[in-house]
Amino acid sequence: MHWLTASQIGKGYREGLFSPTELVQHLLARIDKLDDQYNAFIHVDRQGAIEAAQQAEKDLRAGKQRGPLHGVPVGIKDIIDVAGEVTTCHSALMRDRVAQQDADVIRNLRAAGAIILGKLSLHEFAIGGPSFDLPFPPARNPWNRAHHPGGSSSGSGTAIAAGFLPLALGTDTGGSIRNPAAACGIVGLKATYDLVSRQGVFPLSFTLDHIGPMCRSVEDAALLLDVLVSPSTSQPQPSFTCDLTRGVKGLRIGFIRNIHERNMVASSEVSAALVEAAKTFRTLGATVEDIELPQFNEMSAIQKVIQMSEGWAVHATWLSTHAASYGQTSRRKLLAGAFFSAADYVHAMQLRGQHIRAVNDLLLDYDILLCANAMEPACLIDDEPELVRTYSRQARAAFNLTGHPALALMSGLSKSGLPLSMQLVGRHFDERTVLRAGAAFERATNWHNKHPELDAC
Amino acid sequence: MYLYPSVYKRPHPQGNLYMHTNEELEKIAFELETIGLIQTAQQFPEDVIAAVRAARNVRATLKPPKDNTSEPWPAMRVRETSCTG
Repeated sequence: MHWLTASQIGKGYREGLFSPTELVQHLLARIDKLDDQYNAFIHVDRQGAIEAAQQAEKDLRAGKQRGPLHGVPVGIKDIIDVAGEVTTCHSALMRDRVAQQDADVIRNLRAAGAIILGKLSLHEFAIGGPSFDLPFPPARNPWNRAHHPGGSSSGSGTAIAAGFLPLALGTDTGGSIRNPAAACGIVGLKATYDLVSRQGVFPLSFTLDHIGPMCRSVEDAALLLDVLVSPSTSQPQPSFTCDLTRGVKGLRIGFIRNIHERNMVASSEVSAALVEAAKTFRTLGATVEDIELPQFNEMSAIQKVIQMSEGWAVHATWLSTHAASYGQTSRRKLLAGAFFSAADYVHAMQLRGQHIRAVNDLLLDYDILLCANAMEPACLIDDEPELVRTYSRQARAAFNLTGHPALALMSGLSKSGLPLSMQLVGRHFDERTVLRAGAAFERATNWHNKHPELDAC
Repeated sequence: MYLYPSVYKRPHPQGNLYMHTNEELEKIAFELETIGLIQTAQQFPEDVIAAVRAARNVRATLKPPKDNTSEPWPAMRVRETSCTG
């Protein structure tokens, strides 16, 4: 039952195969049994989840469905406010900060009938690393607990891959949804900048922050995105699930090769999986052409200037007065923002516009861009030099800079049994085509049905 | 002026990176004071140095825009979408 997707859970409820209470109790038992090895959760809301499940069950018996996620458990990265609960940001600084109200995305989840199962661990303030000097232990990779689960939405990736939850929320400023999606072999979607409300989410970098779905299938990503997108939108939106079964025949896909072949040479397994993915899309009827994303290195540098400068603006006061309350990794990363000038920041924002236009130009000729995600499988969680080396070896942050939607999904398994991942990038606000291509890839490859043999750990 | 003595005195394996003249130290102290990091630099000198180095490395890879009068990134258009299904 713990490997079911959200859409399968909804179907199971409708067919009376199991009830919300049975599912929630099963997941809680699994979390109780296993999470002390994986540290996905900072707080499990047992009582709240059971009460919500009982209510969902009553509603179902009365023929009432509150929304598309009725009775579906969801985990929340602990940087997102849930009313009445502490939003720790995985930091000693925030241990007593009780949220007064739900973030917009939490309100949307509740309105859709979702059950909030708990708050999930992360890298401190969504920027640190898998640190051991914080009040909560770092999440670990369910495929091999000696390895890093990616971050900063580490607990979200771990919880989905470990079968603790079907859905989780992550945040993504330089790849923090898509990094754990890669490391944990799940689906993660960073939608177009500003499509999902950031209200009630502790900021890292205002103009780069995205909130998005993490889950086990592209269909679930579409389902959850439907819910996350603010209902206050001025015009009604068609569902993000509407194109999932259309296939890719006729789509033009640009395969960006320079990032993983020249800018940063990926592992042979990552490269081979990307070539195989391109082949799969061709077999399915898409046109796939090799292309270049020029000035990729500059894009990464610009993203860093913006993230560091905006992050410093958020943390400047605390870093001046309470620096000891931060873990060392996040302290160092956040302090770096102090050493950029106002002109550095403005220059970065000037250059940003040029790079947005450059990617838009590529997307005049192609419907989708296929590119690498991480350049190698997840490294060991306590291998500090390797963590530092691999942290920036990724093709994710460029699309935070440009704001284009980017979907991470599993593209294979390494010989060492760790997931490999790729990205599909689309035009602004064209998540439907990205999801359409991702769904076609899933149907053709079935990687999304692979799960770690967790119980053997 | 030795507001940053722990850094000044600490030898570094990569050379005498932290050996500064008084004038240089005064400048560093002024900059740290301006950004409010005197206390933090005294508490965590290695972290401040690592942060300076990280910023310097990033800046080194970045060229200013060719047109310094160009508008910075404008707000993107929102809510433009359609279903092709």
